Amino acid sequence: MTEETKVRFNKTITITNLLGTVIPPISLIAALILVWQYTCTKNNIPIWLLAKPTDISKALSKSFSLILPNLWVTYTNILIGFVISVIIGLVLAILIASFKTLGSALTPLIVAMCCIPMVTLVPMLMLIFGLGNNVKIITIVIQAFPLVNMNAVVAFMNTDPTRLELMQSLKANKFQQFRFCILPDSLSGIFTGIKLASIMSMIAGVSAEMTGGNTGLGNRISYFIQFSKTAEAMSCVIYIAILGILLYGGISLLENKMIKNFQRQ
Amino acid sequence: MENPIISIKNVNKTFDTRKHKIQALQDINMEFGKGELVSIVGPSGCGKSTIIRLIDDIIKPTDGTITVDGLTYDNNKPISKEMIRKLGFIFQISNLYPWLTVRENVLLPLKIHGLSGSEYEANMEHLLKYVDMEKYADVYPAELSGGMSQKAGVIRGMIHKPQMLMMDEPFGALDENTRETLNIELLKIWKETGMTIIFITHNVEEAVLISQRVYVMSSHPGRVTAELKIEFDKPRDLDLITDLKFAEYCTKIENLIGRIELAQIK
Repeated sequence: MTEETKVRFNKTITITNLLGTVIPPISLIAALILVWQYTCTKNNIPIWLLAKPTDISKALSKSFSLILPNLWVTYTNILIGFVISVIIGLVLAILIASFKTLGSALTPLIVAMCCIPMVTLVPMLMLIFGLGNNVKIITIVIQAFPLVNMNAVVAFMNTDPTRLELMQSLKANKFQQFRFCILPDSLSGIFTGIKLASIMSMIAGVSAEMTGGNTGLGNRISYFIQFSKTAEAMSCVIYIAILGILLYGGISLLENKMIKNFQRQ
Repeated sequence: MENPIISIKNVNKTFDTRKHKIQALQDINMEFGKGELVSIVGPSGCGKSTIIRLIDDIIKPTDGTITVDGLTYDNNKPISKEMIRKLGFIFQISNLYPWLTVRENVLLPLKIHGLSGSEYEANMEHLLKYVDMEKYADVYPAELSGGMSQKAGVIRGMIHKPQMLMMDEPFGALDENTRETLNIELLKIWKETGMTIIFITHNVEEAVLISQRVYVMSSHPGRVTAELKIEFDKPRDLDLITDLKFAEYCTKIENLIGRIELAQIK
């Protein structure tokens, strides 16, 4: 195979892979929208009960200027909370994996934080921190960082013992063991936690907005539902879903890049 | 032996498990001369690998003393960096990191030991050439066969030019032909470098082919039951396998191991 043929062959493979990744989800979403539209039209379902996709698309453009400031608030809160969760989760995971006593002390607390139902947590936090954006970010952190932390701790603790033995035979110090063996061996576990935390950040952020305060997409959904404006409420849901997909996709891209980077180093 | 480079005196090793203690080694006394290639053979579970892990300071003995190149190990302290650099360890499996290329895997000990320079780069190229792996230097372990992975694992253990090399059944998982080829390549490297090599195996032919001396061990607990000098008038190559003396040595060692196993059954 000549160089030129190889390049052409590789390009064809890349395009085929891309189409294979993009076409199936788009086709499925399109099919679901068609079924939804057909069912609503055929059965004359009232708009306040279940809005048609066409109604939602109208609401998306009509109420965009109204929703935009809330969209910005929600997206910012979720991203800030998520980033803080990842940092706290990873730092604590390194400490827990390094110091057994600290691990025994912190683990029950972290598990408990993860288990607290959001509906009970948010009102209590609002009593302490008020109704502003801080309380939403705190809610996200409390709910999301344990997921990063627990997955990272498990990944660090389950490093392949034969790989670690090589480090021990070379008498690598703790930092070298972490840098050259434990971290690259744990990357997929760490990213599983980060992906779960991104989903939890969305849930926690929007739930906190629905519980109290007067800004954010969650707050708008509560408002629209109160007045039976289902199409507008669902347009807010779509904006939330878009952020969720973007966040998850971004993390997946970063995961692929980091794993490849580690392979290159 | 006068001035052994490695000496193990009255060493015992007990492992604590959840339910009980397991004595892996009992009263081990061994000596290894500078530049010697010595094999340790014995049945599975006799503590062969434990001995080289003790020498490499991966684990500590329960009691007894280990002296390497004039330094007696302190059981409460890790060994010095200088001593670490004098030791090389090759595992039963290649133990290559899948996220690193062959070259990066081989260079890893240098990064850990903080060594760099043209001397080591030249050694890297030399070793790759020696095991005929120059073409595969920039591929990832997943793309290599078992034999090639093992070769990469072997040269990684030698990249920092250790004076003493511990080899834990390095060719045990390979087919006979590949194993024989690698044994001959090991002999070439040993002659060229003059390293002291301790070779763990349960393949008696392999031990007789490459070693100057063989320690025979028994299990439960691991003890040294015999020590044999292996001497040939001919050069050590694959033709040696057809030699009568080679067969005699093999039979002698197999009988020693067989006797041990029979005694254990009784």
